[in-house]
Amino acid sequence: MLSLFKKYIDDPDVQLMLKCQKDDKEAFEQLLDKHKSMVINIIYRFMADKNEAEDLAQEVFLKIYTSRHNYKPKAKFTTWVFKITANLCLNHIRNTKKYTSQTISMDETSEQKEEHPAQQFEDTKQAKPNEALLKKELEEVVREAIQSLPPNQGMAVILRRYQDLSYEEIAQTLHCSVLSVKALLFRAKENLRRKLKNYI
Amino acid sequence: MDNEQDKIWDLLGSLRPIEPSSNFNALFWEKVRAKEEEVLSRQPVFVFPRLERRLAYALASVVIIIGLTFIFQIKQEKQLSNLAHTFKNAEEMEMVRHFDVLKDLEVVQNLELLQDYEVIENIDETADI
Repeated sequence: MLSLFKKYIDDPDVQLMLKCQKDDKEAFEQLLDKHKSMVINIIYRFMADKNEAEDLAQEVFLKIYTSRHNYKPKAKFTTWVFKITANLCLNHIRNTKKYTSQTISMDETSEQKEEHPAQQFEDTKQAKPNEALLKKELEEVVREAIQSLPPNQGMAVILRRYQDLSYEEIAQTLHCSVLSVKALLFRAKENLRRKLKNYI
Repeated sequence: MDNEQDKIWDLLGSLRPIEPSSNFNALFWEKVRAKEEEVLSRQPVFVFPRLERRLAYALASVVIIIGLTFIFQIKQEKQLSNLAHTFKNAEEMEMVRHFDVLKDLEVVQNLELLQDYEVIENIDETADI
């Protein structure tokens, strides 16, 4: 166990967290500055609401801060942060049932789009929007596509694509096996391919 | 197929990151303060830390005091009964019981003032003669 602690003790974030255990608020402020953007963006990509993302990110850091005395460096600090973030997001979705309704609405839109894909392309070309508008539209479509995925798949995609986590790290974060992560990502890519086929 | 999936993966990159709002840290510390106050308010006003241990100590002290008093009383009774055997009659025993009073009486009798009174009494007697 001690060797396990030694393995991560050199991690600067772990060092800061150990300082936080002695109620060093400056150390926590440093951790906050370093990781807030990452946490907010994971949640934002998952929930697609900036205010909600900031609120939940604060919940994440509040959880970290209040449990600082029980913290043991058994893994990389970021792995712990990812775990808390993923848990909070998945619980939030489960409690609000927002994801389900959005999944349905997205499914409906994608079905509608699938019915008339050509017409949609035609419309876009007719309107000749400028590049910024096109980017914004694409961003919206991608966000909706990610939101349309089942929560576990969505989180796996976000952690893999945007945080560049390994399968092992995602497995640790989502409390499942590496094999399950691979299966989740495979299904997620298939779903995304179906939803975004008009844009590739 | 793989190529398509790579393109999808690239497409996901179009989702740009957002910047945290400028008051994120301030709001966070506000939440921390609120949480700490909430935790404090949930604690009972009248707190007795380690109440059980303290009660045990108090109970043990009471038992020890009662026990010592009881032992002292028994010892005294025993001493008195030993004395009763030593003295021959009830009168002597009574004297021993009121030993303190007897001692005081002895002191009073030895007072010089009373001795003078005795002398004066004698003077009266001689005058009569």
